[in-house]
Amino acid sequence: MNIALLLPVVFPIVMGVLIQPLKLHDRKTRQIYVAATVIINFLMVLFLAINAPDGTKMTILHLNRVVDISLQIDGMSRLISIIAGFLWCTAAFYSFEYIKHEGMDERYFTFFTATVGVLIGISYSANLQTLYLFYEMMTLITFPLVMHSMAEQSGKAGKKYLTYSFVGATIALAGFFFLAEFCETTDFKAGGTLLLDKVNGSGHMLLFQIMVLLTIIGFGCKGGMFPLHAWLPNAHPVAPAPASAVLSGVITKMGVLAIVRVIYYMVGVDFLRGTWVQYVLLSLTLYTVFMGSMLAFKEKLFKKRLAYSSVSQVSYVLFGIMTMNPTGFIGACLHIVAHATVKNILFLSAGAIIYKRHKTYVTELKGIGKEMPITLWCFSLASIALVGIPPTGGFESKWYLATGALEAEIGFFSYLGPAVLLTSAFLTAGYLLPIMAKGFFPGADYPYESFRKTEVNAYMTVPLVVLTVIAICSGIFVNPLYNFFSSIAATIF
Amino acid sequence: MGIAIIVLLILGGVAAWVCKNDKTARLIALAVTAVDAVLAVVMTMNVASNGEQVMRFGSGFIEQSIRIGKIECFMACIFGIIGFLIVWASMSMISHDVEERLIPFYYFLVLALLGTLNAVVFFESMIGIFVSIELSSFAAAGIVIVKNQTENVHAGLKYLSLSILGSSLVLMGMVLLYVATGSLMISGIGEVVQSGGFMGSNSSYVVWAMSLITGGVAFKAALFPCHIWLPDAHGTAPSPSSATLSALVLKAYIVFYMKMMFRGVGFEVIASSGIRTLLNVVMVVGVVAMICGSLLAIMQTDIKRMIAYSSVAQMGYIFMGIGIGTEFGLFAALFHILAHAVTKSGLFLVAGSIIEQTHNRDLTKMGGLGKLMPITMALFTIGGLSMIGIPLFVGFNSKWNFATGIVDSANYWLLIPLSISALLNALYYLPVVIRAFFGQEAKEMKEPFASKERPVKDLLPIILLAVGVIIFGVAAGPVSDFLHSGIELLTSIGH
Repeated sequence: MNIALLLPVVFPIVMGVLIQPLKLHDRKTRQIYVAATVIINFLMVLFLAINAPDGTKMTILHLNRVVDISLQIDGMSRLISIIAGFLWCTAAFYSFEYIKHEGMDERYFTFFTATVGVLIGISYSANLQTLYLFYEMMTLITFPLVMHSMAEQSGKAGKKYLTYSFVGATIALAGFFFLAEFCETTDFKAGGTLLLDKVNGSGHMLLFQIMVLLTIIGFGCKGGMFPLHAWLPNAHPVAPAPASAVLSGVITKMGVLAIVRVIYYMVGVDFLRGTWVQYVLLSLTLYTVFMGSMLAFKEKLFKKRLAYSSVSQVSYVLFGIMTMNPTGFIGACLHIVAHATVKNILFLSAGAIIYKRHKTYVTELKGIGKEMPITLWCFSLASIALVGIPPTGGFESKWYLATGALEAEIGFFSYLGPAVLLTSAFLTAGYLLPIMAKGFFPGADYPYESFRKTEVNAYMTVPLVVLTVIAICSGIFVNPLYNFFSSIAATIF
Repeated sequence: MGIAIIVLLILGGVAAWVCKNDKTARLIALAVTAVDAVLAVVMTMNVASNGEQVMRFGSGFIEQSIRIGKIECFMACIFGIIGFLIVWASMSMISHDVEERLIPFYYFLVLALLGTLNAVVFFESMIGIFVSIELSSFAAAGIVIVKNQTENVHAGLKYLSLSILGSSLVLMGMVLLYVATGSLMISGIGEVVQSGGFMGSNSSYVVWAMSLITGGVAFKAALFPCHIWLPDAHGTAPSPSSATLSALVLKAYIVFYMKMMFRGVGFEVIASSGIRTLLNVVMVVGVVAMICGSLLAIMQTDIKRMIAYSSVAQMGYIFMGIGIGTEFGLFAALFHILAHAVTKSGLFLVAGSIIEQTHNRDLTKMGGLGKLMPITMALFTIGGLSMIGIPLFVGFNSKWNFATGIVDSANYWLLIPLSISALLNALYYLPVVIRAFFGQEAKEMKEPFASKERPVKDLLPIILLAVGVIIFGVAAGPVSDFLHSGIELLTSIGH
């Protein structure tokens, strides 16, 4: 059973790498190959999530006498691996059609397929060094996706992406050396393994706190948390739409997962709760929530607006985590699910519009709902979910985020937090709903006579509809999710 | 067996020179380095099971002693195996850089250099060490000058003169130690220095002597700012020479310095005397070297000069490890000797392949190279990622060891330059990779294009080096254990 943990990590990487040597030049064959890979991988992830008991562990390598590379399965890994595995299937189907207009299919699918293996690796990581290993691999392996068009603009964005990612990872690594010294082990154990006496005894309490803060900020880079957020609005939009969707929807969550691991599985909440570190982190996340929404509101480029929206929404999740309160944590987990699905829908529908109508600015989208009704319906429902209107998943998650903030003993932030979340929700409505309104009701000056319906084909609509159904249902039938996240929260508080 | 290695290499070199035929000379060099590699491995197994080998000859003032512990074996294996791979790679590359009539002489120099490097490491007696250092300097300058271009002659002479300056500083330090302790053996010096009460009255002698030796080694091992000869010498030399100079030559002097410091002076005396201040200076200068070496590398447009400046930065790491002055620091420095030797020799050979196939040294004109030379650029990528310190490559283990040494010795601030330096490494290695695989030129290149890849059999030694980068990246446990037990022998003054 334990060796099975390696399968969903290695299988997609091997299959991805084999695409070019196998010379799958024929489009149909390649599509079947990629589809089979991602679906089998998702089934493996699902099987492991259901059948493998908590704490199933295997060690792959000993880099040296201290550093081992190990995989382990627990609640958080189940959550993230299922999200990654599933969203990869929808994005893959969508890509089959979309990538026709980008070209270089073989290279795209090589890296696209391999990436999911690395992401499963991150979610299954049993200790910080394994996480760091897959984290760096993720940066390198997604880089070709960002650079896909190889235009000058994507070159700049790609370099920015690499620079920020490496800076973030390096800062995190520097902090990691401290954690390795002052924690019992670098393995992730629910509740943390900090040796408080050792920290106190060393007389470097402040330094240790600074290093914990830096580790979190460093990992926050991938999640687009201020101050290392600036790469995200550049890098996500230049990638092909399905890649932007998974970059924004799934890969940002890897930063979140790393932060959860550091706070809840290494340092422990009891050490951080009520310290200045927590307040700094709360301020950073709230600032990011507000800033991201404001910038999205002002942005006219469609995909860039969605990227700014990710900056803001991922920090909702981070805010929930920083409340260090069970309800807030559950809210954060719910928002991981909600944002992952919703952001995929938004980027995929934006991609569909670009694919068919070549419209990249939000101002050009008048009447698009007449021309591409399914796409815009999915987009609209997703927008509603992101704004947080019941009964969608976004409503439930924000509800628990706000309750968590009020319950937590974080003083002033108990009130500031919900206030900022609410303001940001209004801004979200402000930057998403006008697109829907103008799309369905273009006004009298819309050239009705030259109207033609240009809906995309099933490769693109089916993933959109499936995801939209999930976005809605995750709000209506929230109980199983809630119970699952409570069981995770019960282990770490 | 140590003597056998030295004699074999030098006699083999002479044989290569005498044969006057470039084909025979190549074969002799390949055979001799192969035998050297085997001997080094056998000797290592021998020492690992039977303990140190000590050999003394002569008596009185000129008494010589060879003492081979685990660290010496470790170095002999690096010299032997990596030397063999570099010579193997040079088979197909050297005629690009060196005239046919000079090839026998070239291989004489290479083999003599390897022999004297082994001698620098093996000898325990000052006179033997000094003679070996001097001879190795001449041979090392020789393999730069042998390319026979004006720039090489200038670079070689610059190298030689600064190298001699370094040796004379080392000699003065040795003389001072002899005057103070009356011994010409490292362990003899150690016995006196580490005996109670000696440092009280003679502290300034030892500190001055060690400062002189530090200064000398700084020149020989290119510690910033005494590195000024290195970019010229390593940048202009034939590529196999650059690989040898960077991967092997610098390291021999470092091991000599480690022995002087940790066997001659010892951890305890270091911690309680002026030597600690000296090591602090070494540590800080090492940090400055890490940062400045990388900054200078970023500014280069010539691929070989960039890699050469990267060596300056990497030597900074090693000196920082020594400067930490604890067992962990020493271990990190020793491990980095291995890491750097494997990685940098591969990088220089890759650079040599690129220059040979495209006649272009300019980094800004290497767009699209990933399509023309995919294997070569993949090897470059492996080397670059290792230098940056990505897990699964040997560079990460090295970074980990340094960080452990830093945290263990509570010099926490050193983590900052360590991290910055890793980022700076990324800043000059990754753009090359990105340009090669994703540059505009790569996009515009339509099939069919003429591949410029060298045949795989010529690339095999470089591929083996890259395999080494990965093996020591994923399974460094055995080497680490060997080094840890070797450090005990290195720092003990017994025998």
